[in-house]
Amino acid sequence: MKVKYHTIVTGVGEMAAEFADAGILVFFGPNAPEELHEFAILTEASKLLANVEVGDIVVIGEAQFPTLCVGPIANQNVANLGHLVIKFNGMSVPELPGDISLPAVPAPPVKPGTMIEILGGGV
Amino acid sequence: MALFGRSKKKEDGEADGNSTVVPPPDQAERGSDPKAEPSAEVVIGTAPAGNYRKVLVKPGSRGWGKGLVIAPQPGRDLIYSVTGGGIHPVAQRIADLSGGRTFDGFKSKAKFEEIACAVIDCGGTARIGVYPMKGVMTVDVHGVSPSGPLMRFINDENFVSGTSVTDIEVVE
Repeated sequence: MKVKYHTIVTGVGEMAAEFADAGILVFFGPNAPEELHEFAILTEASKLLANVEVGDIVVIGEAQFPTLCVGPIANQNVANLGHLVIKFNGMSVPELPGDISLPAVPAPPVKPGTMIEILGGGV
Repeated sequence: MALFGRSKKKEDGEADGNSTVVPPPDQAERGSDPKAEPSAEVVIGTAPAGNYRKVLVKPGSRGWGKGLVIAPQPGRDLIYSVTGGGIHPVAQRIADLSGGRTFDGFKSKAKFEEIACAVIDCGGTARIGVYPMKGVMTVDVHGVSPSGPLMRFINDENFVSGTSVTDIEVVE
């Protein structure tokens, strides 16, 4: 598997935990305007090396999850803004166009220093 | 005298640090003072009053909402683009028609009270609710309906979606 995306969490907004309780992790790159910080998990600047696809593995710290579906604007969000919307909702059809859906399990803990990776299938 | 040159253009109470200075009545004829012509510094601050128009921003064919009237005013004229890839064409069009000023939220900071409207390319989770929650009129270029954890803050008075450059028109 190859690494499509790799970044490190730099900060977790005060309200991000409420999103996480709802099974949603919202990531933004370092340039996100201040008003988004309180809801977001901020990460280092990083490049999306290849589009995220169904079956890719999302790594959050020590935990790994298979990608069940990818919304039509999810990749452009990641590529342009470092904006990754991870939903632990078990859906195989994206609920919203920015979503990357993973199995319906509790969101893993995220804190500054946590590594985020997306690993692609294939050779 | 630049103060008077600017103050005659102001509606009232614009905060520029000089606004507490009230010109004495005997200078009421200052409009004829040649030194009171607008100076270059005006360009940097607030755009001149009187050049703004109200525009109607409609939902796109697959969008949501009834449309928003965006009315930039002195001190509140930023068309705030919080989108990937710089100023979005929808934000540019709103600015061109309304006389507002485009502003890239990913490059610099602005205060909410300076924002006439925010243009986002949100997939329906975070930005879609953050700006309505902050009291900012919000235009989503993607045709999503109110959704996400902040959905309760979104209504048809503060949000419209699916808008493209052809969905914007001057109303006044």
